[in-house]
Parts: sequence; structure tokens; C-alpha cells
Amino acid sequence: MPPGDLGADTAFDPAPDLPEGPTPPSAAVLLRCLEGLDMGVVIVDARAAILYWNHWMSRHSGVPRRSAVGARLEALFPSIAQGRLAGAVEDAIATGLSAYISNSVNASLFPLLRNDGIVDEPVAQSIVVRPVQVNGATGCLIQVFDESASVARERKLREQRNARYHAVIEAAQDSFVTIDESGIIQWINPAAERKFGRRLDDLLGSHVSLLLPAACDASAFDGGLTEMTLVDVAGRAFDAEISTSHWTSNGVRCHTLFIRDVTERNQAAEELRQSQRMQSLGKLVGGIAHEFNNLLMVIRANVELLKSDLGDAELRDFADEIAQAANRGATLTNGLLSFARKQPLRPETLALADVVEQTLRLAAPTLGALVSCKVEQEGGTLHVEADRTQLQNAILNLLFNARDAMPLGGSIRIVLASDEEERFCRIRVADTGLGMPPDVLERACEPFFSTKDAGRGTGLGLSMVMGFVRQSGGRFELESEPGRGTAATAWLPRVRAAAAAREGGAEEDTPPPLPPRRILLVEDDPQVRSAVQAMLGGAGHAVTAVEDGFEALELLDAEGFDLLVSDVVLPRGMSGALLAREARLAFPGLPVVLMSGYNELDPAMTAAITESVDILRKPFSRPDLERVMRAALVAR
Amino acid sequence: MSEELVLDEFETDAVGELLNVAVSRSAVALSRMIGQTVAMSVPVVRMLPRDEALRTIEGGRPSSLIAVGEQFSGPFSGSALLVFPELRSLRLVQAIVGDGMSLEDIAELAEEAMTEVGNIILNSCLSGMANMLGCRIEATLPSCYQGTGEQIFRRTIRDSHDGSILFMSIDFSIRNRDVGGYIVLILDLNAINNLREALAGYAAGLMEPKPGNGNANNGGVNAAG
Repeated sequence: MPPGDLGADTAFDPAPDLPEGPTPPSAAVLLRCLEGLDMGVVIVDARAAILYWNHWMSRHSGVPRRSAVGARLEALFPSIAQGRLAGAVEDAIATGLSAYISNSVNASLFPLLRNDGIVDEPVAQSIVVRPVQVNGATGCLIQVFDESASVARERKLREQRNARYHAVIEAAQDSFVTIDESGIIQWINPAAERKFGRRLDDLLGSHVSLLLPAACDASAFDGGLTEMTLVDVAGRAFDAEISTSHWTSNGVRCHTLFIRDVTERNQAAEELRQSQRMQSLGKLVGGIAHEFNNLLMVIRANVELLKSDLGDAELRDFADEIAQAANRGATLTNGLLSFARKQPLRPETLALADVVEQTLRLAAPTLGALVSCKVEQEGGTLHVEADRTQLQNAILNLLFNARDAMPLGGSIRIVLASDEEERFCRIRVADTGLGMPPDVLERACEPFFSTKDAGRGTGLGLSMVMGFVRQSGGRFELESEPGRGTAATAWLPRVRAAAAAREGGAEEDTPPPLPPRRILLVEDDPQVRSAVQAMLGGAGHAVTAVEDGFEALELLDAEGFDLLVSDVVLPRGMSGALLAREARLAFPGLPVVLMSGYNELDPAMTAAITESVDILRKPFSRPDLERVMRAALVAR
Repeated sequence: MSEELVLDEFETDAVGELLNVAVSRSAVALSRMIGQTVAMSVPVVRMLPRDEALRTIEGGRPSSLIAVGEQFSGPFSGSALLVFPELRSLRLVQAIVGDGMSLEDIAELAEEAMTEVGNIILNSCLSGMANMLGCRIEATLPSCYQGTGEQIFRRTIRDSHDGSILFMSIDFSIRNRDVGGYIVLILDLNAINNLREALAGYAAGLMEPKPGNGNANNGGVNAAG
């Protein structure tokens, strides 16, 4: 039987039998044990007044036993009246019910402090309330357990368990969002907080559609990889690639969404696709132009031969018509080649004003009535060293860009000038159009960058202009400001007036025909071969024609020749360039002229041979051929 | 003998009314505890045999449940269970502790919180019964069980149980979330008999107008509260 005033006789016996032995502990011993317990023990009587208050309670509550005994709990600690404890004590006394009150869901328990001399932290406590017979009536036993250590241990364990997980998840650049099966957000990582500009605390309990408007519920994420467009904190739409993993915890199915911003990747892929398309288009165009130029070559050569034999003026006019049509065809293939950027440059001395004037005539119909155009020339006549067709194309490009920047019309001002040191000519094309913001301006010369609608521009215009200007030894600059128009300036190497005059003069005088030479002609296309052979033969040269490089090398070895004229593209694996190099090795100083339909030479080979080989672009006329041959022969 | 173990329609209704008042009382206690309005109701009370009670709890398929149980003794003895599907119990705990915690963290304290919620609700029901019966009911501390309905019943109801099962559903509404579960009172033979007697006395009390109180029909609520 319980000793002293703690005697209990409850019906369901919450107090187990005391140890049986020869000498049961005395009441005094038991009381000392209660005092020594590492937990709180409070006994209240049937009127809910405190009957016993152990040392642990005094130490942690700061209320000594003499103040506690006789007082009611709510009088000592008013905050208790708010919580569950008071009701539980009442139930225990009035009905005989027991109660368990945990620290995890109750705020208003005993205001206890650790009081361990180190930190004054509150005690995390759980409380058990039981009815107990006290002095013949039902009172109540309150046991207070210190859960601080286990709460701290659990927190530490949780942190340890989560540490590696969080190290990965929190450092990740991708956004992670965990939702339950009804789509309620359970957790997001710091990257997601930054990306969406929402804090985890604000999002907990919200529906995932707040971040992913297209997501109605978690079932949207059962299909593995999903892509959708989302909006980030700055209000910018981005392509999101979402992969999902799901897991079940405590019977709840959760989904973690890994959200990756793939906008840049998608853009890069699109650009790559575009550039590959342009590359294959370029190859195709180059191939067509090559075949075409061979045909034009045959037509032009034969027309010239025809003309020289025709006495009838009317028939000669017909031949001229054919020649003109062939020339137009050649212009067309040149356009195709410049589009494919496979145009070998053929620099010549040009009067800048003339080229600009011709180009404007070409462009006038396309510029439209709303756009006016004015050319100003500062100083005297300017000459540049550049490829005529390419220069025209470049100016056309700048004109069309200017027109497109002025959808409502405006004026284009072209200024031609020389720099102070007279080393460069400046061509400045300025419009009064919309202008460009700095970020567009910065990228305007990048290949494939275009602000025009799909299908309206290749995005190659300015990059081609810049490429050409640089290849010609000049430089290119763009200035622009939104609302204030754009000015494009190209500097091209200037040719001194004297040199230009000499060159011009030389062109005007018909040079004396070359003395007869022994020429080896290498060309695989039989029509082209016979046309060129006829051209050379007509000029009095002794021509031997062969089909490929190997034959040519054998003949060079067997017979002596003054000049080698070869096509660039030859069969049986030996190109014209290779043949030229081999021939030069065997016969140093042998003049070589290469005929090219387009720039088939790979850049490395071109670099190796250009300085010692003259390139003749097909289709060419007899004067063209004569001039290049002369240059080649004179150079040796 | 067997018909004596079953409450008739009037008796069942009376118990239903009593328990509705009791859970309202625990709703008040819960509201005070979490600082949010909690509404609870016991819409249906039925007497069911064990197997049917089991089938109802499992909702047609064995699923994981959480139960809080208390044994009670005295003139009125048996055991009381509060049963929720595990998933819904997490919702209930989340509703109690608020949305500021993730389900993962909640799962860690779910058992503790469920035990306490069960403790509050079951104690309210038991004290309501005790008040009506005019007796004391001594109850043990709550225990928490997890498993299928069958597993929980095996641990809380004796195989030899020959009493009746008073079965009721309970609906919670906390923070705009509705959570449904069941209260199961497994009554020993003496409990049924005592309950019937008490109900007879309660009914008789309703018939005789109390002196000085014209509104006799409120007697039931007063007795329970």
C-alpha cells in the first residue's frame, strides 16, 4: 500500500505494487526520492490547490515550495489558464480522466527555464495528468518531463540527416519545388526563391499554380520531362524544363519538381540549327554557282569567238545580246556566292562616287518613294582598292537596313570622305530611322542576329558588310541611338590619285597583244576546255589542253611551257591548287593562272598559294584572260 | 439476451445528441489550444457489430490508419478509439500546427499531436457520458496505434468481446480544411446496461417539467455540458 498521504486506491490501479521485500522503504525515503527526481512532480487536491511541489519544480519555475503549496495553479501561473493543462486537471479531479499534453502542439505550459547556469532557455516539456486519491478524495498528479534534451537531439539528428541533402539542394542553380499530391507547395530551395522572387515561408501551403500557372495539380508531373513557359521575378518569360521525381512519406505522395531555365540552351540550339542550315545552303549554292559559271564561261567564250568572225553588224548585235545575257547570269551567280560568302575578292581600283551612284540606281526601285537619298562628297575624287561587286553589295545592304529602319519613310544621307592621313576613304550611310538600343547595337554585327521578322532578313547583312570591309583591309563601325537613327561607317583603303590615274589610263589604252606563248591548259569540262583553248588560240598562243593534274605534270616534264592555266576543281584528287604547287616545285618560276568558278580553295591552301598564283574568275572575257596572263608573266 | 445489447432508435439518438455536445466541448478546447476556430460534429451514431465497424473504418480497402485509444473503467467500462486514415491524420495535424511546417516535419510530430488530439476528444466524450450517467469514469492515458483497421482492432478489442460497438463518424473543420474520421466506443456488457438505465432516467427527466424551468427540452444539453 502507498504510504502516508499519497495513499491511492484508484479503480484501474495506475500505481503499481510497491516492491515487496523485508523492509519496504519508509515514507521519508520515498519523499526524498521524489525530491531528487529529475522531473517535475506536482500533486493537487480535490479543490485544485497545490499539495506537493517537488524540488525540480522549484528550481525550474523559480517558485519555492512555501509559495506554491496551498495556491491554485492558475494563481501562480496565469498563462496556464489559456492552455490545456487547467482543463486536464479539472477533468482528472471531476471525472477521473487522464491527459497527455505534449510540447509539440501546446504553447501555454509551465513557464520553466533550464536554469542550468549556462543558458536560460525555456524547458521543452511534456505533461501527464492523472487522477490520484488524496486524503480520501480525488486529486490529481501532474508529472512534468523535461524534453529539452530529446528535442535538441532530434533537431540535431534531423539537421545531420538533412545536411548533405541541403548542401546539394541549396547550392543548386536549378529551382526545386516539392508539392504534395493536391499540388500544395511543401518546400522550395533558395534558387527557386530567387528565381520566382517568393519566400518559402510565404509559399508554404499555397498551390503550385502560383508559380506554374499551367499546372492544375500534381498529375501534370507524372510524365517525366515537361517543358513550359514560366515567368520569373523580373516578369520575364523563360523556357522551363521540368523533371519530376515522386516519393511517398508517411502515406503522402509528394512530387519534387526540378525546374531548369533552358532559355539560353534553346536559343543556342536554334542558332546552331540556323547556322547549320545556312552552311548547307551555302554549299548547295556554291555547287550550283560553280556549274553555272562553267556554262556561262562556255557561252561567253563562244560568243566572243563568234563576234570576231562575224562581219554582219546585225548578227554582231545578236551576239552582243547573248554576251549581255551571260553577263547578267554572271551577276546572278555572284549574288548567290556573296550570299554564301564564298566570294573570292577581286580588288580593283574604283572611283568611289561612281560605285555609289551605280548602286543607288540599282537600289532606287526597292528603296521606295518614302525614302529620299542624298550623296555628299567631301574633297576631290576618291579611289579605293576593293572588289566592285562586294562593295556594291555592302552599300546595298546598308541602304536596305536604313530603309527598314524607316517604315514611315525618311532620308538617307551618304557621305564620302577621306580621313586626315588620306589612307582611308570613309563611306557613311546615315538614316533618320528608329535607331537601336545599346543591347541590339552591340549584337547587330553578329551573324544571324536579326530584329527583322522571320523570313525578312537572313541576319547576315551587317556581318557580311563587316566581313568584306575587314577582308579589304578596312574597318566598320555602327553608331545608333533609339529615336535618333543609325549611322554605318566603312573605311576602305584609299588609292592615291596618281596610282589610280595610271591604272585607269592603263585600262583605257589597249595593251599590245602578248607575244605567242606555249601554254598548258588544264580543264576537265570539255566545253570550257575548248572555249578557253579557242580564246588562247585566237590570240596566237600555242595551247596544249589536258583533262587532269597528273597528265599536266607529265606533259610539263616532257615538254617546256611558258604558262600553266588550270581550273581549280580537277578530277582524280589533284586540285588546281595542288597542281600549281607541284608544278612550282618542279619548275620554279613557272607562271600559273588558276580559273575559278567560286572559292573552292580551302583557307589554308589559299594562304599558301595566293601570293604567287593569279586567280581568274569565271566567267571571264578575253581581255580579262589577257590581263591576268600578262600580270602572271610580268611578275616572273 | 442479444437484443438487450442493442440500443433502440431513441437511445441511439440520445447518445448521438450527447456526443455532439461532448465533441463541441472538445472543439472549444482544441480551438483554445491552437488559437483557431475548430468546428466538430458527429453526424451519425450507429450500433455496429465488430466486422461491420471494421469494414466501415477501412472504407472498402485495407489502408494505413492511425488510432488513439483509451481504456476506461468503473461502472461504465470499455475502450474508446479515435480513428483516421493516416493521410488525413497528417492533414489534421497540419491544420493544427498551421501551414508553416512542411508535411515532412509534421510527420515527425504527428504521433504526439494525434495522441493529444485524440486525448482531448475522447476525454470530452467520456466525461459527457460520465455526466449523463452520474458516475465517474477512470480513463488511462491515450495510446497511439498505427496499422490496418484489423491490426488496430486486434490490439484494442478483446477477441472475446461480447459487448457492443457504438460507432460514429466525426467531421472536423479547421482552417478551412475538412477532415473526417471515426469515433469507436467499445462498450462492455455492464456499460450497455448502465447506459440503457441512464438513458431511461434521462428520458424520464425530459418528460417531467422541472420546477422553475419551462424550457425542459434543453435539459439534455445542460446535463451533457
